[in-house]
Amino acid sequence: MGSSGRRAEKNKDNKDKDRVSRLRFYGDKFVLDTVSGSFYRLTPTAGFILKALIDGKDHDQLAEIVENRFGTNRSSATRDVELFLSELRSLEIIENPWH
Amino acid sequence: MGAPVTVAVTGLHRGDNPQPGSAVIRSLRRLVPDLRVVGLSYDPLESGLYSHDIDRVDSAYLLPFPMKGPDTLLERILHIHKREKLQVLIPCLDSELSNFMTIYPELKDRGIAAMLPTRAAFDKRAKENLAKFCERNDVVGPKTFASYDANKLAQYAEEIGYPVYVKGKYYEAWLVHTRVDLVQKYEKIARLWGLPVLVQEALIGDEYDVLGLADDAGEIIGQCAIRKMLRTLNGKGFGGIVVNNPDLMRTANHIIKTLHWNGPFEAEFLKTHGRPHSLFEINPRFPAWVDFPSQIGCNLPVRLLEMLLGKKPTKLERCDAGRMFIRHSVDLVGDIAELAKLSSDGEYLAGPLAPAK
Repeated sequence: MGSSGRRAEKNKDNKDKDRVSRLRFYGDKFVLDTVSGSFYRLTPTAGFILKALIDGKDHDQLAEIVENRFGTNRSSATRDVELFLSELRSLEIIENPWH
Repeated sequence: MGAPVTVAVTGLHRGDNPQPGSAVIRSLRRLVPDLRVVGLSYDPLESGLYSHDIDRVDSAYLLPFPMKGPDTLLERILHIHKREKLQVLIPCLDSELSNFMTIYPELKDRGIAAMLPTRAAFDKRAKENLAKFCERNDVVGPKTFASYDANKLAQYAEEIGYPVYVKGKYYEAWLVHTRVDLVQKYEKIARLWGLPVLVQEALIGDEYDVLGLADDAGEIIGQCAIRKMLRTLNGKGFGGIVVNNPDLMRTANHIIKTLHWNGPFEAEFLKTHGRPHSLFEINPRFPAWVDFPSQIGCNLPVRLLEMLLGKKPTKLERCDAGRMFIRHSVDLVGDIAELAKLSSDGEYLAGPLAPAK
């Protein structure tokens, strides 16, 4: 990836950070999207990833911290993270690259 | 607020399709406890007439049905005014607004204040004209057509693609999947609410409502936006949660400014995945959930009263995302004697019906 590609990727991560800042946690297992008014019960992994996103972790870092936190291997951590991000996109909580 | 004020309010029935009047009274009395309320009703069984709580009425009068026209309404209101010395009128039903707008100059001359939209704004947001308004003003809205003929309406439905909603010009909406269903509902709605009947693209998603109050410059001076959490089969919101959605608020501001709206309103939107909020109705009055924001510091009926009386405005708090309401139905005790009095005489002057024992 060239420098412009990396910049675009970084911008997208920043936008996602802005978007997830609209989430309000009630403990570790319940979150409200203050923009859409939708609310969700969370699994421990989902809560952990969401909080990492709010803390500003980019997508590349997420798999690593999930691997470290839950002692899983990198490929399954990457898969879990991608599946979860895809769900967040479908809920319009993070940016959908196709829109 | 000084000397007691007399306010007339309509729309007092809180059934499965609750009307806003009782919620408006409740909001008013939260900050103006000595208010005198005259309940204006179309049916002696409107539930709000039987309340002893803060949404009670101090006297009740039956009104002629809106189809009787403005002259009959004026005659009745002037009769009531002679006895009650009305100062403020807050109409709460879509179907009566047009008559009240017609007679308002006469009411104003006699010292009755109300905040009503202009005829032009009222007509532009009418259900049969809303699609045109959206198209002309860059507002996203569902495909909607109006017709005075069932066959023509069915042609429009084919154009949109089933399922579609068949809607009355004031109330009622049915989701239909076939032409046969559509014609049946057309006839039912036409009988009850008159023509035209509308057909509307069925958007499946979450419903968002913006309740607000606009001044005579079309500026929103207070508002609350919710996502409906619980909806009845008829789509009535029995639960809602405040959202903080800048896009939705920008859209609502644009709509109200463009209409030069004056007074209370409720803008209703549907949000489908990947598309912006789609405006499907603008109601020209407070909605039945208006007492929810009043309880969290955004009391728009009181602000309306203050504007009409030229009083210093009470501060309106911003509604915080996450505050929510759940509608709770209760049983009110009635007495057939009071019902008989209101049915026979068309008025009841001794406070709420069926005094508590």
